[in-house]
Amino acid sequence: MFDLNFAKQSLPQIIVAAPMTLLIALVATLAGLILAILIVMARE
Amino acid sequence: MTPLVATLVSFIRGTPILVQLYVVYYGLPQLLVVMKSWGWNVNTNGLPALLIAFLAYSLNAAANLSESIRSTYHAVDSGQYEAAVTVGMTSFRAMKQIVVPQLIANLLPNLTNILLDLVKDTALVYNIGIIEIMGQANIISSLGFKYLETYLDALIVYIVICWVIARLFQPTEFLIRRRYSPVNV
Repeated sequence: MFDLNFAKQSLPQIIVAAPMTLLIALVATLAGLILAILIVMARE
Repeated sequence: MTPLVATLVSFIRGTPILVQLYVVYYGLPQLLVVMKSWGWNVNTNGLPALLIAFLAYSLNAAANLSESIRSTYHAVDSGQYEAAVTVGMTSFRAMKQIVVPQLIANLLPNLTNILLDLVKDTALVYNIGIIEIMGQANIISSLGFKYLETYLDALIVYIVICWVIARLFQPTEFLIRRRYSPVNV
């Protein structure tokens, strides 16, 4: 049976971990963009 | 140089990100050991998992973004550059003021897509010990044996993050496209 109370209680604990996801994605995108520009300059 | 880079890009684009993550996770420490045996002063102990995740995901993003940048570069009409040089602009100025702004206008939707893909792909970093949304959901669900509830929470958090990122990029994309695109939107 779906436990709505458990879902409500666990949501804040999962939100706490969201900055790590964003950090990895943003750093990887920025570093990837710089690397991609270098790759394109090497190939074109 | 070009065939080497092309092969590397093709390898990264042709393999799953989880495999790349494992290869960097297990391969980088061994590479450092080899470098140390050559006399390099490198610390082979305690390589942070976060650094490995940054490296693996950056390489993946770079391979995908390089193809996007190449396609958007070729999408800009070469006549634009030639016309700029004809009216007396230097090559650098023509690139900076004519080609690159149009390239950015075309690149932004692809960049948004790649960022959204990366946000979703970070769900795999739990495999190398980094606690992010999916990792936290796994821990909580295993504590309470309430799997559906916690994964639904994770789903909601991912949807909200992706929606916010898409909403943030949309007006920027519209403004740049309206300012620089040869075809008004």
